[in-house]
Amino acid sequence: MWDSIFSFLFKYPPVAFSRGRLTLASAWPDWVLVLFILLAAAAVGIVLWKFRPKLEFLQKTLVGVLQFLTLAILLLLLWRPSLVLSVLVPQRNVLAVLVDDSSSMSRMEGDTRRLDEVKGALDDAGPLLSQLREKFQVRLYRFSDEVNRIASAQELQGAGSASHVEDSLAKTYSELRQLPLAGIVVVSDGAQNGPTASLDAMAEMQARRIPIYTLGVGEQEFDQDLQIDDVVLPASVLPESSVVATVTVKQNGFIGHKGKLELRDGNSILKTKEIDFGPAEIQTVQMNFTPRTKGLREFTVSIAPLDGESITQNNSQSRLVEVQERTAKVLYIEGEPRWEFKFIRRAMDDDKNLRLVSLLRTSPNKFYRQGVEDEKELAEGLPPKKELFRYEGIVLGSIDASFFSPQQQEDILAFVNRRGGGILFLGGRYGLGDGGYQTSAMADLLPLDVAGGNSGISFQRKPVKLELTERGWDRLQLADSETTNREYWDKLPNLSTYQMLGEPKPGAVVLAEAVTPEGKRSPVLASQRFGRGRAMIFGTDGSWRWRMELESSNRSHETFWRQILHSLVNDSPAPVNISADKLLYMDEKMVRLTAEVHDENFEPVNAATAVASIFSPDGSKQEVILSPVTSEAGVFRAAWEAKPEGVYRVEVAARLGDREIGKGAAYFQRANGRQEFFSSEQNVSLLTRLAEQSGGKYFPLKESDSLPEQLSYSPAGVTVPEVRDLWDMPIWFFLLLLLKGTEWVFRKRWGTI
Amino acid sequence: MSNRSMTPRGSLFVCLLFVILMVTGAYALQFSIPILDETAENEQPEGPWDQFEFVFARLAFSFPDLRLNQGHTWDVDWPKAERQFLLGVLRWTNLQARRQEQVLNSLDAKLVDFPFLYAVEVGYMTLSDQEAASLREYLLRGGMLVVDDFHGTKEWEAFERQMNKVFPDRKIHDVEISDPIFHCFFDINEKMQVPGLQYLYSGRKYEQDGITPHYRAIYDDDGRIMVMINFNSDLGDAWEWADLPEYSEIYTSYAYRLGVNYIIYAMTH
Repeated sequence: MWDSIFSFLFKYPPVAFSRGRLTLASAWPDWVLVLFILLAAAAVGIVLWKFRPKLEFLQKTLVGVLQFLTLAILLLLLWRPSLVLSVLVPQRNVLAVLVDDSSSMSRMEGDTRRLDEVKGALDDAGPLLSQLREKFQVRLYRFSDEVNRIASAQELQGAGSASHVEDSLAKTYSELRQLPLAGIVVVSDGAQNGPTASLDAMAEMQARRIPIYTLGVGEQEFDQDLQIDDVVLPASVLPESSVVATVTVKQNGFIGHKGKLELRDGNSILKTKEIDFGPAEIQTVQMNFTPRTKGLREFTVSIAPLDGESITQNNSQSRLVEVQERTAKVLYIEGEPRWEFKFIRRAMDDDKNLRLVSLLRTSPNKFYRQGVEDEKELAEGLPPKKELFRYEGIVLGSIDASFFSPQQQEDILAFVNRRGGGILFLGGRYGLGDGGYQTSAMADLLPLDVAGGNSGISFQRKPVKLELTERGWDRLQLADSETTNREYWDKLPNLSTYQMLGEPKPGAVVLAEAVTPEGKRSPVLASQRFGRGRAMIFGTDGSWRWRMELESSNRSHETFWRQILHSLVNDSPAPVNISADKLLYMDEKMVRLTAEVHDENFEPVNAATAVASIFSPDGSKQEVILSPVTSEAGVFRAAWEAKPEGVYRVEVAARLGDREIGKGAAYFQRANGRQEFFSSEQNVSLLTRLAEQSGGKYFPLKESDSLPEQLSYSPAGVTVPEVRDLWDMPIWFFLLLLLKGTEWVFRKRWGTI
Repeated sequence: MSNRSMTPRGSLFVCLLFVILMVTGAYALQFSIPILDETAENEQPEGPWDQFEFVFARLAFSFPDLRLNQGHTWDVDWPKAERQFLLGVLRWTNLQARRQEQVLNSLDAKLVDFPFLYAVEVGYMTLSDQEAASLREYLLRGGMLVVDDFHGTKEWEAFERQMNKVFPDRKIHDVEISDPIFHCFFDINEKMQVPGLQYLYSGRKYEQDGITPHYRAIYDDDGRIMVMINFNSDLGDAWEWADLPEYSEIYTSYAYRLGVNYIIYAMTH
């Protein structure tokens, strides 16, 4: 609309002015024009002040300005204002037209498919292609996960499993780079789901000023749709852990409605959650569950379709999680015999995946070891770093920080920071603030401020009620069902003790608060990430009352402690480990693998060789050598193309010379034809960004009729300079008419004519 | 006004009545039942029980047949035995223990606050179904019961009957000397018979036909001891008479070491 008005007034479209250069084409020098304009100004002044005595001063000034501007415009036109343009030579330039042929283009909108709309616009006999072919050698391509040249748009099928928009652009440019390429037209819905283009190719296109014009297809926003945008789950966990699935839900047109989320392990429902749709388009929901079946499990999150939804295939997403068959070791150091110690040990007794090794100080000179593998384990107290790092978690009970030597305190810090282990500080007479931890080398590990209370003693033997915070509800659960879970938490008896604790540190999360009978609240359970590991505080030693005061059949105490201790070790990395950058590659083939190689002291080994063995779902095996990353110590990376759909297992073996340092393994999954249904509304922002970065422009497909003219001003390709007169632009006529008309109206009103 | 004087027969009758009353009263005193004064517990200078990590709890149980149970009640050696023993516990361990015990019966709601329970003369204990159920639940939740000072076949059979009410499906096993309960604090490598005070005047270490000491237990499903049974042995007397020069230090020392191990075991298993 505005382009049309502009073109009418200024004779040429805006792109012509943006690409061209303004000049005065008269043979007379420009200074003569300036001189004549000054003379005109003087002449107007003399005539007005000498021969028009009836006019007042302000009237003379107004009339003078209007007459001067009229004369100045007329003089300017005599000097031939012109636009110098580089104009493409007809039929000497190539124009690539890339059409999205992925399955999202087969989507019905109203009565027609997106692809039919494209076929209509790009019909061989249609005006768009005819006009383009008058000026360019048009090459038509279709793209999805690969690019192929086609003779006609009628060959499009809309069956491709992916839309690699940027990658296809780069491939097309590489093919045409030796030819006079005037521009590239991309016809797509912009639902890109593949790798982004190589930066080199895009930068070269920009350097050559090759414009990309994008024609957007499809609705820009669905009237009504629900979508599971993302599901974040850990790659591996121990059985019986409380696992949190972070689900991103997107909605359009369902404000005020309720949705029902469901989390399944295969076919069995693990958790359901009702959510309200507010004005926010996107909301994040946490769903916690307890995986019980070991092995590689596929967990699916789905949202029940609502009436009027445009597309339901995007209502679920799945992720693989390895429920590991391994035994993690946790070291528990306790400074005095306590019931809490006994009941934590009992809670973990049946857990085959977590071995609690404890060192209990029973007198100033006696220690009692439990859970040790052999006579040597913990025989000398806290083991040196190398042995300490074989544990995945540490629990420190009611024991003074000064019990540990400065070196041991540094080792504990490194255990969390570098080894990536988890640490839990318990409340007690000699724990936390009363144990002097806030002034020890371990102080930074504490998620909360642990300074003592007003009397200097922060440990209190008084009953308090434990209440979960919102984050706590997301992270901990005593039962799978939402209702039963709430009932169980409400039913928990009071903790018999608590430690007065301060504010959480930046980045720490308070999971539960202690509420005194007077209603005073203070954090009691908190966690934070620290370096490669994590740290927690549980500021009480009175949770054993849950076990003794609840029926023997109630497992709340055991469940709570298993979840707490599992959360310490679930993410503890092995010295040698490997991971893919995604758990699920939807319509993507390029898998980026990252391995971390450390020795037994968890020092990075840069000189190692890391070889990944990839076991494909078709039974084949391939070895890939990972390259060290110079900027990250002990990190090795490789990219590898995964072709068949299914589950892949990747194993890494790291060696230093002839010595094997360690091994690690991970899983990832590939699936085709899924991503098409996600975010399948037209991605205007991607198409606009692509166009504007290159100096081109985005048009909705329906407005594609202005494309040929836009393209004719392309700065790329074979061009010739052309001077175009601007003196006959209609805008001049309207300006002169406006100036003289205004003067006439004023003078008529003043009665001077 | 008549002057009535007591006849010799009347005087004899009054004297006889007085003697009968005296003898009966003296006999009845032997059956006096201690009344638990719970309020008195918190008046001790040490403060209330809930300010301590460990409180020694003694189980008080019913003994319906006063005639038969003479001298065999739950309060034997109470409270000196445990108070003297607790001094040793405080001396040897870093346990924050209260110097004073708590007496509870098996239906007391507070029972769950005390995961360590000590009982004596259990050969004369009679548990109602409700009491047996309460004790079973206490033990399954993680409480531990130590029984002591009962001897001979008759008392064993009576005790076994009561335990069958508590755990009809669990057997009583001998505890191996390698069990952690004998090694968790002190290393004890011998199952010794700890005699009661009576051995000072009888010269016999055993009572009734309980010649051989037995250390037995009822285990839970995970192999942890729930009920520790000192049969034909009397740790309580050894604690109580630790300050009596005539009572052998060998037995006192053993009883103290075993008692400490029981507490540490209860707090670690």
